[in-house]
Amino acid sequence: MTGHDTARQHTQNAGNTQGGPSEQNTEYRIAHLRERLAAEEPAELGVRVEARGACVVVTGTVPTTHCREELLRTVNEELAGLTVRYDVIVAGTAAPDHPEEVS
Amino acid sequence: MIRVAAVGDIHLGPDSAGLLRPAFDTLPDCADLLLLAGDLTRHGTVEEARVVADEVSGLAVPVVAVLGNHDHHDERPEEVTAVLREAGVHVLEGQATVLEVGGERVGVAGTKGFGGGFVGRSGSEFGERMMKDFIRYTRRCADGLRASLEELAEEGCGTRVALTHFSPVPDTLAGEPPEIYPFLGSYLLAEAIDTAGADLALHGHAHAGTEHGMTSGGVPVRNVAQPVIRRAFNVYHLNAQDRQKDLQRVP
Repeated sequence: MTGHDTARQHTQNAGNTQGGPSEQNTEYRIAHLRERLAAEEPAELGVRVEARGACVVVTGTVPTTHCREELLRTVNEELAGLTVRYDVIVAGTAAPDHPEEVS
Repeated sequence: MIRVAAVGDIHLGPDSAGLLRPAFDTLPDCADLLLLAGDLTRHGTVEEARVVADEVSGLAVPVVAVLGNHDHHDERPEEVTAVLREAGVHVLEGQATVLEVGGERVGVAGTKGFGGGFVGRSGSEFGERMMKDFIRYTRRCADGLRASLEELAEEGCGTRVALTHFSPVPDTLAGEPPEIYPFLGSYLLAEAIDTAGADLALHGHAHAGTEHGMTSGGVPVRNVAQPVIRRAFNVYHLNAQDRQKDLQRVP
């Protein structure tokens, strides 16, 4: 099961990666978000969060739709005011349809 | 032929109970054993471990697991291990287990492993105590893996699999930022595998990595992190007789 989502929020300070208090600095805000994602419920160390152009891109695979919802909620909260684009899918749970002959 | 099913990084929690079970119930049709390459939980809580235990208990194939870093987060790895063992899972840390499959002895050696990096780009036992402890811990994991694989050879296992959470090679990390490779694995694990010998090395941990790799000694490596394989598990066929014929052909 996959679910792509694009959430867009307009911003005044996206891309600000230099100077100013850390709450206005996109790099530090992303760093703080990653710390929060690791510590809180989603425990998402495998999701990538990167400043790209004038927006922030969140990519990765999460175990369940609930985790995906929690991830989006946390990101939207932590990066409020920034444009965020998501490419986050839910891990597949189907059995494989063929094996690999390793040797 | 031995049919090995494997998956890592399933990160089960209360909301994922029952998600993988339908696929796991098909295992007897396609695999002889199931290997779990760590990060079975999200925070390493006993509650999450019970979800994992329920997901695999009573399966018709043996289940062998190592823990991952997430399974240590709540600092109760012994309790997580106990919950899984109660459900019949062989949980390995610097240990090996031997399974009988169709008259053949199949050995699995396992350790969580740890980071440190890869040749030419790795940390070393130098400087601050914490840095020395970091690398020494990885070395202990690798030593345990090597000793376990050697033990399996002495016990006459025709097929040996090395199971870790952290990666032994950089090949299967392709797709991850190179800057974080030292946190994703260590060459010490590959050196242990190549020194003792193995037919297949399986790991997880690198969600953005790639499935296929190989140690410098020629052991195939597979990153079976669920986000990489995009399934409940993958199945690898290992044919010990073919490997012995290949070895006999080597001059």
